[in-house]
Amino acid sequence: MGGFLLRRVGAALIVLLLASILVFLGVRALPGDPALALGGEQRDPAVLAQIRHDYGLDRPLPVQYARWLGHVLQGDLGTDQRKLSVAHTIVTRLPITLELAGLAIVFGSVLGILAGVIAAVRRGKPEDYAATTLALVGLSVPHFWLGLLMIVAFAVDLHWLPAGGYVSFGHSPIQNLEHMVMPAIVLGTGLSAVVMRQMRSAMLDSLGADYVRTARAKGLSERSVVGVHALRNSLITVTTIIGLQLGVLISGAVITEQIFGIAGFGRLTIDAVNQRDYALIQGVVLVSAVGYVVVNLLVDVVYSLLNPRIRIVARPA
Amino acid sequence: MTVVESAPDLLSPRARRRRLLRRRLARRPLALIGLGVAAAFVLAAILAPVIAPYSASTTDFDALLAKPSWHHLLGTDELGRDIFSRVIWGARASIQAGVLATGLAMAVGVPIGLVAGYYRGWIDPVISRLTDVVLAFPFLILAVGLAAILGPSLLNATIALGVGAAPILVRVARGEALALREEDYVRAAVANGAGDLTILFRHIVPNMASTLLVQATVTIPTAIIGEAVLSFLGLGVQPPTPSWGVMLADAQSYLSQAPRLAVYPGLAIFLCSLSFNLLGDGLRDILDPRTTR
Repeated sequence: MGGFLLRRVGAALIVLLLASILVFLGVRALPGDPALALGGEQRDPAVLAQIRHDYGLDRPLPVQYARWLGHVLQGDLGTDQRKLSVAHTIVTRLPITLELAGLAIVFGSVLGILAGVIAAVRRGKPEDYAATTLALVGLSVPHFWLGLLMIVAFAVDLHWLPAGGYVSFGHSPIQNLEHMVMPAIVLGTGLSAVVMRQMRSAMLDSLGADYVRTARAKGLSERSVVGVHALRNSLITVTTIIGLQLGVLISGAVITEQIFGIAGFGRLTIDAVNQRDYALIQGVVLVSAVGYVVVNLLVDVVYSLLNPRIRIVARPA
Repeated sequence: MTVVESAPDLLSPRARRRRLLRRRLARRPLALIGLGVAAAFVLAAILAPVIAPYSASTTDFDALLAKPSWHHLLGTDELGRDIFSRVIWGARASIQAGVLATGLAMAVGVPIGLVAGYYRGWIDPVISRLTDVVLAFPFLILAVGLAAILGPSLLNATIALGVGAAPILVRVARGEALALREEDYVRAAVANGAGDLTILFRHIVPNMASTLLVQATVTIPTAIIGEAVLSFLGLGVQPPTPSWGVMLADAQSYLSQAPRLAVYPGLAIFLCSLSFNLLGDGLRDILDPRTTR
């Protein structure tokens, strides 16, 4: 187990190091001179040269990278165009997106697992076709369109929910949930479709397995066979899938926050790109890559703890 | 008693396989519907100048935000432009982005994956790690970042989506090449002294074609939705060129007055993406019956 952990952590660190180089070079490839952006109205060559010197922009790229990485490792992601700390801005915006993603995961998993179990147990019956078709619809429907339709239906026509904005949980839990219901459903729809498909497939595997036949032969009730034996084993696979969907959720949060006017991490990404705020773009892209790699690593480790066979398979040939 | 062999059994193995695939396809009405609808969207994109009643930019200031009528089947937008025509013209951007981005992803991803899976050695872990690096960036974040670097346009959005989708193709091609290189017919070709290129293009690539076809069919809807998202965010097609994403972005300001502005372009994205997904699912079942449950 120790060797497996070391290998996985080592691989993740290499990926992160290479990702940081890619982010650094990518931002340098953006059109426009960062000194001009930092200088605001200033166009005096001497002042611009001073800015380049102050920010180390006149140094060779490897030196700039090493200096930048050194700061990043200390939690310093630099300052944005408004002279605010990028790390601080990200730390303020991230909890909003994490709440949104958390609620979307709850919605997507509950709906997906329920629909997947029903589809597997009623395989080939109308319930199975209904769930499978709905999953396909969930996979094909564009998030942002679903968001717009929900705003029209529940905010504009019925006045049940606010059309957008964000109220923190600490300020008013009720209002917070009112604002988050639609975005969470929009973000969770795709996830529920993926979870449903995986759950159905895993449950069909489990229901055909020897231990389920044994459980039935022992005279256990169908509820206990499905609920305890088949479901528990299928959940391992599905939990992994939910973890791996994090990247999709981050991507989805970008557009969902844009539609519902939520000032979270996703909205910050678009604002950074639109304002050509290099330090901010660098920060948000790096943080999303780190988050994604770390969650993938955790999923791998948890999965290997739950399923020891994976540790043997993962060993290089 | 004479046994009369039925004519189809005289067919070559390849023709027999084709006939089998046709029969399997005919037994999957959803895949056929998907194929039909997807083909209709492609045709609409190609024939837009012929079938659209108006040009995408013709304005009718006497009919601003008009309701559906015989003159304007789906009504008009805030500038009096015919929504039905703009939805048809918008298919061009979506289909172009979907097909070209997928083509680019295949052109980049498949050769890299082939090299990694076929040659293995030091090149395989290097390519695999580099693929992991690109996959470490959530798809939309990567596409938004690339679109920002390249500048907002349909071509650049297509490139960004293609590059973003390429790592998955690398993984698929690598996996297939790893498995196929161990097959008996590949070993036989090696024993016969066949060169690497012959083995790759005569034995390995044709045998992974069905997997790649399925993967391409499911990449197209992802790219179509990706284009709509990038255009919606202002990083893809630029107005006044029609695109479903741009139409949805414009519709946002009129949600209370004319919600239909948001309905039709979204419905087009949904149906287009659903049709390719139905086709992809059907093809997967047809080409690899083991996955059918």
